[in-house]
Amino acid sequence: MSRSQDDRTDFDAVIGPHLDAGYRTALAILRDPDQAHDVVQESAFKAWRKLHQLREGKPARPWFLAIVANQCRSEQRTHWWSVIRMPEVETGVREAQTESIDLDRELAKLPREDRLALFLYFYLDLPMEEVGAVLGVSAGGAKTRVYRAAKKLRPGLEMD
Amino acid sequence: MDEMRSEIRAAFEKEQAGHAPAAALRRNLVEAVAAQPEPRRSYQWLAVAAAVLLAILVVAGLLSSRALRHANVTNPHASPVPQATPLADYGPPPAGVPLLYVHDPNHRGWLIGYDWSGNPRATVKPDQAAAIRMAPDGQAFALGLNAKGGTGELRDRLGQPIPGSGALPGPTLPIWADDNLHMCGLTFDTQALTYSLSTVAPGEAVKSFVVTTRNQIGDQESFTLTSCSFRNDRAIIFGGNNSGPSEVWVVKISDGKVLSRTTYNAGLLANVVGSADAALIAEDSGLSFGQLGATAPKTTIRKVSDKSVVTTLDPSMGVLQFSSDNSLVLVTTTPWVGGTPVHLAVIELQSGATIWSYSGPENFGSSVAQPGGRDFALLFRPTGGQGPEAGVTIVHGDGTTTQLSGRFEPTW
Repeated sequence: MSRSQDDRTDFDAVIGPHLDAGYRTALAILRDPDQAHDVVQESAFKAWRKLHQLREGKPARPWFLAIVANQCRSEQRTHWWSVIRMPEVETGVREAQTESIDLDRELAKLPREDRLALFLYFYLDLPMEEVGAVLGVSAGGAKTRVYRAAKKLRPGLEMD
Repeated sequence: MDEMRSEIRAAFEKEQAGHAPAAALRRNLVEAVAAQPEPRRSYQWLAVAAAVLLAILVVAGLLSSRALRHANVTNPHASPVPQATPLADYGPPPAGVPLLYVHDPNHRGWLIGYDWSGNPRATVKPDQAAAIRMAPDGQAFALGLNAKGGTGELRDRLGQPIPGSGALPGPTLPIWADDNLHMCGLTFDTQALTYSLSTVAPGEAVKSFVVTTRNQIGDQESFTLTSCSFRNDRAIIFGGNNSGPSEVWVVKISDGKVLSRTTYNAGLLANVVGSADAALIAEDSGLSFGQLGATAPKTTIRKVSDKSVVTTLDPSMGVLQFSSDNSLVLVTTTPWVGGTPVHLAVIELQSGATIWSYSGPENFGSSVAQPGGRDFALLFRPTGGQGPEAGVTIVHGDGTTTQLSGRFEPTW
């Protein structure tokens, strides 16, 4: 097997399983599928270049998602007008749907870091240790961030 | 807290619906990554996508022209398709007058130049209008600047190629230097793991200097160029990761020598913005991005030369841009929150007075500072608007405003 085939196999085995999660994370932060696609591609290249850092024993998923989150931040700095689009707001909703619509709206208004914390924990089901690794904080710090973010959606919420 | 899981998951699911990752995402990315060791390989993947898109467009074009011929045959009395006409041809640009260029809404290949009083003064017909970006004074253009893969190939004041000009290497997001002639960009060497500062001027080759060594780049850290001043021979670069900027480098452009390096505690700042002449730097508080809470530092503006504080602003304010004379700053006055139009103000640094503010429903896009003056030109897009067209508001240094009539696609 050639060197490039080895590298490709390595990359596919280590990072490949997390590319979909990377795209979804970028989409959650940027809310633009084209930008999300660009970001996950750029992140894949960064991960490729830094693969040697991972081989020091770090788990791959939070490591790659941290690169994605960082790349999203760079993207927002450059084209930040595109991240302040209002989400589509439904009108004429039935009363029974009001509560979930409110949560949708509040979620859309959350700062990027809050959305990221909630997305990683509640949507991707990452354990707190991995959420912390993506956010650059400890597991305890991650739990606090998730709790604070969730509390913005439900002010009466208490931490488990 | 976990009782909210299903609700929050459902809300995210709703956002993600309809935008699922492509079935071949993994295969395509792995193929692209493994294909070549150079970073520009990513654009091969894009090139393939562009080729496919082009093929689709060609087929669609052929089908539509066929359909149009068919329609004309079956309905000989159909109205003719209206021909787009430019607003007007305002002639070649006057020499030495700074202009703001927008795409002519009725003639995509032409650009209209407005002066800073809001009057149309010129029509430029560049050889390529797509992704063209004007220099801050409107006296030059670059192709693909601030676009992915854009190298900033230079054009003269009439939008025509300048022989002998180099293009900045690699995937870079170059910025205009304060002389409105040079462009500067940072490039990352994937083999050496170093960042280099590259500059190019009309008719000249690219010059590059390695700025950061491999050991100076932290894990997951990336660097951004925020100022490039040929007048002061100085560039400002900041590095950081997902927690925000953590260090600022001041670099001599002429030889790449690092003049100073300042480090910050991680997570305190949201952004770093340098003035065009690299004399001032704004350290935007994390709160201006909606991060942090009671511990947020104030947004601070310093002199680059001795790091002395010029003024401090409320932590909820984030500096977007300095006026060219460094007397004013354009700031966000509400935390930068996704999904919400941001509020803006122009603040005088010496007095702290707010000379203009905006809290309307439209989304701010971007801004350009008047060369040598105190005005800002701002873009506003309608809430929920997805297109490139924007309203252009010129905020003058005395707080008065001028609105360009109509909506335009800008070149800045």
